[in-house]
Amino acid sequence: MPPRAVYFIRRLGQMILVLWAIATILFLIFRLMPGNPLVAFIDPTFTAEQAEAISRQFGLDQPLPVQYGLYLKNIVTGNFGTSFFQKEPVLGILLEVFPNTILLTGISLTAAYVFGVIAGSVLAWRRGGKLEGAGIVFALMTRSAPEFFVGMLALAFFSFNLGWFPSSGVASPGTIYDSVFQQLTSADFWRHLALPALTLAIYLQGLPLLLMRSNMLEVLDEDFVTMARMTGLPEWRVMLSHAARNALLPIVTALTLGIGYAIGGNVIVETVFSWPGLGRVLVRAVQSHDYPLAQGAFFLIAVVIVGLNFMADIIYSVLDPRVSTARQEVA
Amino acid sequence: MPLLEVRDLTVEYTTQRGAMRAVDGVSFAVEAGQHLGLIGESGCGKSTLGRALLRVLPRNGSIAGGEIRLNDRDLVTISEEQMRRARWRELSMVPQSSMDALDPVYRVGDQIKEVLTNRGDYNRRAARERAVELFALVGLAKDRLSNYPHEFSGGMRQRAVIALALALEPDLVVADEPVTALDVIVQHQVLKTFRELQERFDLSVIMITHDISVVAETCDEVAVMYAGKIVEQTSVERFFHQPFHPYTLGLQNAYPSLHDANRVLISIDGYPPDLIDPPSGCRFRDRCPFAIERCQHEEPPLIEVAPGHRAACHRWPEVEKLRSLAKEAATWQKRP
Repeated sequence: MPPRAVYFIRRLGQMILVLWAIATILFLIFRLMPGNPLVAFIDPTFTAEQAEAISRQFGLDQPLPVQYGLYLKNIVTGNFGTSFFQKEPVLGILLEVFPNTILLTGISLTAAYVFGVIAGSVLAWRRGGKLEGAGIVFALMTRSAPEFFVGMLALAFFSFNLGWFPSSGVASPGTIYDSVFQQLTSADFWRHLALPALTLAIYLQGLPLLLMRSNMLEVLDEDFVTMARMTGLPEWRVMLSHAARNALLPIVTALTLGIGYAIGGNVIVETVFSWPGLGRVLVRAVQSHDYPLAQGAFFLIAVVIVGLNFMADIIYSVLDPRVSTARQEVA
Repeated sequence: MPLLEVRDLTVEYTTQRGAMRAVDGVSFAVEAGQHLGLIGESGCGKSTLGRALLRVLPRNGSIAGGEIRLNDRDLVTISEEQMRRARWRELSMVPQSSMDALDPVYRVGDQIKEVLTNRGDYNRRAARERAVELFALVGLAKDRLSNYPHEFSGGMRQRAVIALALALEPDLVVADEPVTALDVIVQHQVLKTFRELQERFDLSVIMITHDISVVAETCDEVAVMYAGKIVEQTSVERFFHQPFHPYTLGLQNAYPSLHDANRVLISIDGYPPDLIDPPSGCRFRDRCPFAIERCQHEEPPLIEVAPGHRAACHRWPEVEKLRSLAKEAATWQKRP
């Protein structure tokens, strides 16, 4: 089997192990929390028998190992239970908002990293100039500003003052998309997406920008860059296919961190812009003690993070030929 | 007319303590097909000189003056774009750290093809054939073209870089310590490759090294550098048998000889001078056992001491005496 395929399969196995560990931790956390999870369900006026009946209905009278087994089985079969308040299957609620979160995260993460990588390279290339000084100040400022603050400024300026963009939601009232493709090609969606995505991207671009700049400066001193210059390749080619290409590798590692930041940032941005996504569902579920929904949202967020990390690793192994083979040799 | 003629070349580095002249008024010429060895200890400006010829200097380095005439043009004054076009087609380089000169994320063959298609007149297909040819030239199997640099051994990487340097059939190759990092057997193979190529293609080579045996094996002309200046230049025979400069005498003492197995190796004490604030007079005077009063103030010019032999020492007329004194270890131990 080619080394890359072996690497792929091994990483896939690791991913499943990680998800199992996360599911177990979630299971324990929700069991260790003080109070009865059914407190929202059971009215104080219920008799002890009624309360027990409900408890039995949810399987909470079983010993922990049995509950754990049932829990794992349910997760594998995609059964996350029923929301206490919306009385609907958790999976359905989550899947309904899931595309919104993926689109917001994916688009702002991509925008932030594309911008950060290009701007960072330019700053490194213009080392010592005025542009570099201004660029670093800009990156540090935007990186230190809290997202709720940036979000509020964006709302106040672009939405309330200028009225260019709507202030909340994912679509104008009454809009129904037949497909994700239709959603992605509608101007209305992009108008709604603009501010939350901008806020999230501003929050995320600092890391790749500063990292790319310092990577580039380091790589520019590497012998193979000097060699590429010596061979008389055009400067843009030396910069792009040799310097930037190598400086990009640690960015992909940083991307795995960035994914974590993006999901964390999502929770805030979705709340500020009333964006119906996973983060907002999670916040609401926690606030209202809707345990099945919160547990499901946590798990789905974990799946997103682990999945995106897996993708980043695969990208890395494609970008750097040393990765998949080197690990093979060690094993 | 020589292929390359360097006149009064001066290269400076800007440092926090001031300008450092790593190469200070160096002049020499290389004939077509000639192999010039550039020898001297670390930090005397050999590599800087080599890189200055291609005008690829570290960020804080620049050519402060002089001329580099190659194919009827002065490489110092032509535009950056003209210089870029001259690189690799007219003169190429095997850099000092060839081990890291290949980009780790591309296949070795693709890197050679990149140069062939971007800098030469090769289309993709011709480039592939040429890459195979180049690999054969340096003794690498063609299926190695699809390997990444990390899959190569040190010696193979070195050969690959030499193949790359020859890709566009330049008139001159500057080889900066091309075998220093290699073990003796691979060293020999690489040097042999070099010599064969020189004979086959009438290639001129400037071989930068601190290893006298490399000079003996590959060069026909030798220039000795000390503290940014050429202090002696002559044919390889005269270099070994009739050296004039005390530094050259000292260098030869520091290397073992096959013919004189019992000879004690003698090192030259001390270090090269600070090039930011160089001493007056002769730059070697503080380490030279033969230094006299005159050496303190007056810089010895590089003059012709015999036909085809230049040296920069005030005491060159007494060279016979100096040569016999230099053979004794005691000479190098006591300071005048």
